[in-house]
Amino acid sequence: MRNFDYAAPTSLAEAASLLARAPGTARVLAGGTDLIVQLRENVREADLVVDVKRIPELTELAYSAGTGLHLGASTPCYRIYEDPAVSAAYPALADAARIIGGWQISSRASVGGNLCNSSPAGDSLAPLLALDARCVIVGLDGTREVAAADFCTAPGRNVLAKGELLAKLVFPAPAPKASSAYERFIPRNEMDIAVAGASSWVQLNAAGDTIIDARVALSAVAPTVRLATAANRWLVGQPAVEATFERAGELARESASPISDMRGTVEFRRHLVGVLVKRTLATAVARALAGE
Amino acid sequence: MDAMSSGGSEHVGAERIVAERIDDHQGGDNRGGDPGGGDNRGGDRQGTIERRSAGAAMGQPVRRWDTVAKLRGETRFVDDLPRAGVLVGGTVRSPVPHGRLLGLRFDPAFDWSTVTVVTARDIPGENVCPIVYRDQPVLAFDRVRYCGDPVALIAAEDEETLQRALDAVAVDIEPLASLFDARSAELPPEATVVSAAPPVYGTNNLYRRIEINKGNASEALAKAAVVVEGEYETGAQEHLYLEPQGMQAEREGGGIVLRGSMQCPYYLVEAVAVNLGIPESQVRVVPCAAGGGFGGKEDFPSLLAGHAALLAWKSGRPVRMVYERVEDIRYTSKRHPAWIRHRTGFTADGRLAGMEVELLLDGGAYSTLSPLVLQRAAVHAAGPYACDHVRIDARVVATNHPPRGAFRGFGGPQAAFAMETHLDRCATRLGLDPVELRRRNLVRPGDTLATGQTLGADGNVRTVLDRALAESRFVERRAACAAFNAAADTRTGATRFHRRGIGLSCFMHGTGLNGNAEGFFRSRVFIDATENGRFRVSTSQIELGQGTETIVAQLAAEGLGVSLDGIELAPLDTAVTPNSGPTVASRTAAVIGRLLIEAGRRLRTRVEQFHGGPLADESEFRAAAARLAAAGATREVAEYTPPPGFAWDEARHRGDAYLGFSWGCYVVELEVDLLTGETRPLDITAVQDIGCVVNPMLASGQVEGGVVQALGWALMETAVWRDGQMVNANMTDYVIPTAVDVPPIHVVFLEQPLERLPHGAKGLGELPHEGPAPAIANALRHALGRDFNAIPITPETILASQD
Repeated sequence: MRNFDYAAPTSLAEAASLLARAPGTARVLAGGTDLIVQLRENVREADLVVDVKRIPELTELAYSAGTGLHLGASTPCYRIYEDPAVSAAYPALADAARIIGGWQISSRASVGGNLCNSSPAGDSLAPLLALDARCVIVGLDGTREVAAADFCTAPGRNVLAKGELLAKLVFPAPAPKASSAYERFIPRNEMDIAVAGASSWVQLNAAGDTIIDARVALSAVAPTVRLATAANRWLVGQPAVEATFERAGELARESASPISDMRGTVEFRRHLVGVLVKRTLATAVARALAGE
Repeated sequence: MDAMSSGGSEHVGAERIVAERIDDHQGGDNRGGDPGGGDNRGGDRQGTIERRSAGAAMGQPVRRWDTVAKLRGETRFVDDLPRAGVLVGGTVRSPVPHGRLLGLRFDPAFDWSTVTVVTARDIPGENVCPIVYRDQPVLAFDRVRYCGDPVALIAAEDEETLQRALDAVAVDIEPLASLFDARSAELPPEATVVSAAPPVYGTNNLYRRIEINKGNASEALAKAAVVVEGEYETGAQEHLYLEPQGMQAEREGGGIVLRGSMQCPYYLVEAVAVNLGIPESQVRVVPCAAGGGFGGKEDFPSLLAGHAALLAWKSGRPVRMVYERVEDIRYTSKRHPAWIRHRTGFTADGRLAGMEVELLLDGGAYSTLSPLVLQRAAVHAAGPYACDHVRIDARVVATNHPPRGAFRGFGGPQAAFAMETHLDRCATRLGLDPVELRRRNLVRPGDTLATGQTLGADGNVRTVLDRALAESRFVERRAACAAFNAAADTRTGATRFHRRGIGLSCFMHGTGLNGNAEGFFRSRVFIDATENGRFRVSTSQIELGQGTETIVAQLAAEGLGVSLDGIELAPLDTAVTPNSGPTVASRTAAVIGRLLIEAGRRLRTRVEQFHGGPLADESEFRAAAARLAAAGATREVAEYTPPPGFAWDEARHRGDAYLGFSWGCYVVELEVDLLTGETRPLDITAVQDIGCVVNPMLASGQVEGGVVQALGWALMETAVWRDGQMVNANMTDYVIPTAVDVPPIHVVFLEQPLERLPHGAKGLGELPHEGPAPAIANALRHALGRDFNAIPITPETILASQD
């Protein structure tokens, strides 16, 4: 590991200024569960590390049923799954937060950091897409917003320009008769990187028998996390039954463009997409009907 | 019955359960009970001691002596040694798996006066790492044989300078064709090298071939009513000890002292003396606390000690070399991948008529311990079965993979996987229940194994099988699994795609080193009486986390007839510590245990003679010992000699391959998800006969840990190789089980004592790695009706098997 400078600003403006003016490579430190490991193993380099945990807005978690969830980018995962209202309103997000690492990791790691690391296998990313979250980005020139679906551009890459940092994630207020779920496949029961993952959000009609809106997102099966667009379009107006979930799974497979690597082959990952989409749709519908 | 202090004879035929079932990770509850009528020494896993008699320490669930210091963070590992004045050492390695080493180029832009560089030319002694053969150089000089083969060493003042120096060395190599497939590695004797690369080893890439012949197997197979063939394959496995390899070397007087993490301090004495060209008396080894080994710190520390010593020798400064995790996984040894073929003949009534086993191990680029791993694999290849006609043909060959080495089980698990998976397939062919097939063929006392070794009274393996069947409710659960599967279509939701199965394995593990090796080592232990009324015990056995220190104290206390607080352990330092041999081969409780009991008994006799009569009261005995100590030297030395009648013919592989054998029967019940291919073990029953349980709490821990390690080997641990380099060489990508992957493990010990040893103990540490993999494969076969002849059985394997 190379030596680097360290700064811990207390305001967004100061952080943006530090990041913009750094002579070499500046990196943002949130929970550090990715960055510190990458620096130690020389996978990533930094001349300046900017610790953002002292910026109050970045660890803010504000939820109301009317305005939705505002999640500071470095809020640790445990604050999501330990908050009953947030967990009930955004079950897919809580599903992901709960399985990111063990207790020690989820006490440090953040959803914002997970997104900025921009791995296609990041567990919280598919829920962000399924839940239609928006990313609030702060730079020297002010603030801009992008949809979570547009944030990542390639493995390890995203839309952040030099001098910009992710400030918070904004989730729309929960809709009636709607719910969500996230599930991933790993070869053991905890603490591993997804071979494939799927998150589903559905909204049902008042009778609860028909899907009126849906967003399915896939992880670890493409260069970035992506929406299963064909499946999402088809799902609107379909009955909320197992055959629908199965068909959506098949359609979602077409949206996957996985690679073969040491965690799984193309065929295995495509197969898993079908299984996981079907399962998460079934869970999301069951939760919507249960009033979660 | 108090056989521990009165010799082993009363043990014969006695079956005692000393550790009852341990349920659902709760521990703590001693349910006692013993249908055999013997005394129950079963223990509360929290460490409550129920003394069998005043002063008895053995058989008690004594808490590990090293625990509190480790929990408090007070234990000092090699990387905790003071850093002031210590250089950090690093290794320049071959970037290719095979090639001619043309030279090293040192970038003139780097200031080489700031570091110490050692190449093969700087080695004052022999450039060889002595393990079994002498084929591995400490630093490659003419040829590199694996990706990572060390070619030079550098020591620097700090990590950053070291890294810059390592980056400033270019290794010039003319690449040669690489050999990765062990199955085509061996060259015919008449082969002439035309265009291909020279052999990796010798003239034909064959490290060793072992043939074991009993009766006439080919004739027996020709006459057999039924012959079943099968091929089985097992993969490499990484040890993943918590503490990576680490060593520090420092010149001292005219010699050198080494501190580090290791299993075999005296191996280092030999290796470093050879490398530096100094007498062994000039090499002192002081082991630090070791954070795990599993065999991975048997041979490799000899190489690392050579490296650290060469840098310290040339620089005149203390040098520390501690591997990062990736370096450790990439360049240290793995379990030998194996390919095993069985041809097995049966009589019409399902009795073994003849067995032929061909076994092949990939030994990697240098032989390290491969010749001995092969020997254990060969001896275990035909399993715990009675058969008059056996032929075993075993080979270990060279490839351009990093050297393979010792790993818990030492070839035994590979052999057991093939044998036990094969037997379930044989049972189907014969129309027999797998249990019944085993019952008809398991050895009994008086039977001979493949090498002709005759089993004593402890050779009753059916007892182990019966206990495992009862403990796991095998027959009932097998029917329940079948019923669960038959009813699959009546279920809705995820469980519709779940299938269940239950399988078992019977296996054995030889106690201690093979054949004449125990006699060769002539292990010695010391016990001294001290003036404070305690007894100081000296051995070279290493605490790796398995509880060695604790059981050494318990065994010494048993011999002396004192309580544990009368025992202290001398710090380990080869300048003063006797060589009691390596901490390997499940040998400490049995082999070192015998020496400790012998030395303890003799010292007790001396104290009583000094006193002038028997001393039943412990405090009086200890007072007398203190007076004896004050009067002069009181050291008792016990030295290993083979027991009467022990005979092994190394050339023909006939006779007593081991002092004796531990027996096991494991049962695994599991569930498979047909949609994802996930296997979830539901319940594991581990029954074993280890002769004498020295400490039931630690013994249970050994079984549980071994089961988990084997479970990983069977279901998930996949070493991915690309051009001879392991590409998933980190803990993110090399997946091992975590606590939540482990089902309840029911551990039961039986004691059929080994008559050759005073306390009857047989080996334990490696045994639990043998049973789980074949029991899992057999359970999957039961669940899915398909064969699983290769491990790891990953989800993808299971899905592929359905296509």
